[in-house]
Amino acid sequence: MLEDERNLITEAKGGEAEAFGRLYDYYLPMIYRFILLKVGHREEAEDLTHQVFLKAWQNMSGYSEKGFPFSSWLYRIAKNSIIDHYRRAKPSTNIDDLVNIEELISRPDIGKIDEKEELAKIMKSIGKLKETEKDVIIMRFVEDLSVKEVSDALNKSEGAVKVIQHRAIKKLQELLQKDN
Amino acid sequence: MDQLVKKLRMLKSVSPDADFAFSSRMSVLSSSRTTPSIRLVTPGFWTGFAVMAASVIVVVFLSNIRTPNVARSISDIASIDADVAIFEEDIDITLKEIRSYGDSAKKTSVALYEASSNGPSHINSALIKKEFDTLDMELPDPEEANRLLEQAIF
Repeated sequence: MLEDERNLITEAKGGEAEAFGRLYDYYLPMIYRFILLKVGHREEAEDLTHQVFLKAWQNMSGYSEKGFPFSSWLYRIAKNSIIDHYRRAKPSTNIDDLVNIEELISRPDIGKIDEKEELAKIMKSIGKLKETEKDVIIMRFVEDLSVKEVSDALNKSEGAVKVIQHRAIKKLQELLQKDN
Repeated sequence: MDQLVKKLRMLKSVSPDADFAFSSRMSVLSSSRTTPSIRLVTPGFWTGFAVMAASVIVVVFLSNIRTPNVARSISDIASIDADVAIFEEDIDITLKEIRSYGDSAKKTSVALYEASSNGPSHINSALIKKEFDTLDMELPDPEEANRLLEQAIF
């Protein structure tokens, strides 16, 4: 959670663009990764990410915490945006066409080709999971969110999240073994 | 599984393009916000309403239940004051009467004592002479007067 997040949210609700800008800077990578790993296409991910933050900014006055963190609210907007995106048009990309890993992996210490290939395989395998399984895997293991945060974002019980997580990990391992 | 989790964590290095992040930020923040339509019922309205309603109920309850008691107790105090004032007056009058009776009883007893112990010697001779001078000798019944005089002296 961003330091001083509550004040930033209050200011952003009051129309302070700079406060929302700080929230944007903090949550952009997280939401972008979530969308990219779900839709598997960089440009679509960028468009959808932009829409998510645009909707968040325009509806900021309607946000009320009610025990849910701001990140959960953004994830919900992102999920709804992805669903709308799939409804409007069939995804243009096959998950196998997905990743130009060189383009996506910007971290300088991931330089070895075999590591990049391994990550490409993982991303493809994630793409084969059910949507809810993808959500849980990304939030729990990529973004390192707690079970509680994931349950808030997905509007599911913590027990349900644990069950989905267990099933998704098992499935992912099987998919990776098959791929190898 | 640990290996898999470690690899999944490496995906955190995936980040948006810097140019996209900058242009999207500018575009989002420069967009006009949906100003919420003026609502008659604001988000805090129901909380305020509940507090106000509770206050009104409490006030009505107190005015119905507590105020008559207070008024009754005030009127009770006033009537008690009046009763006490009357009672005090009665006591005062009674005390005056007792004092008066006491004085007169004392005077009477002193007079009787003096009369019985000193005899006619306490009578002022000048006073007796004056009484004698004014004595109406033409009284229809001088014997009765003599009897009364003797009674007073002895």
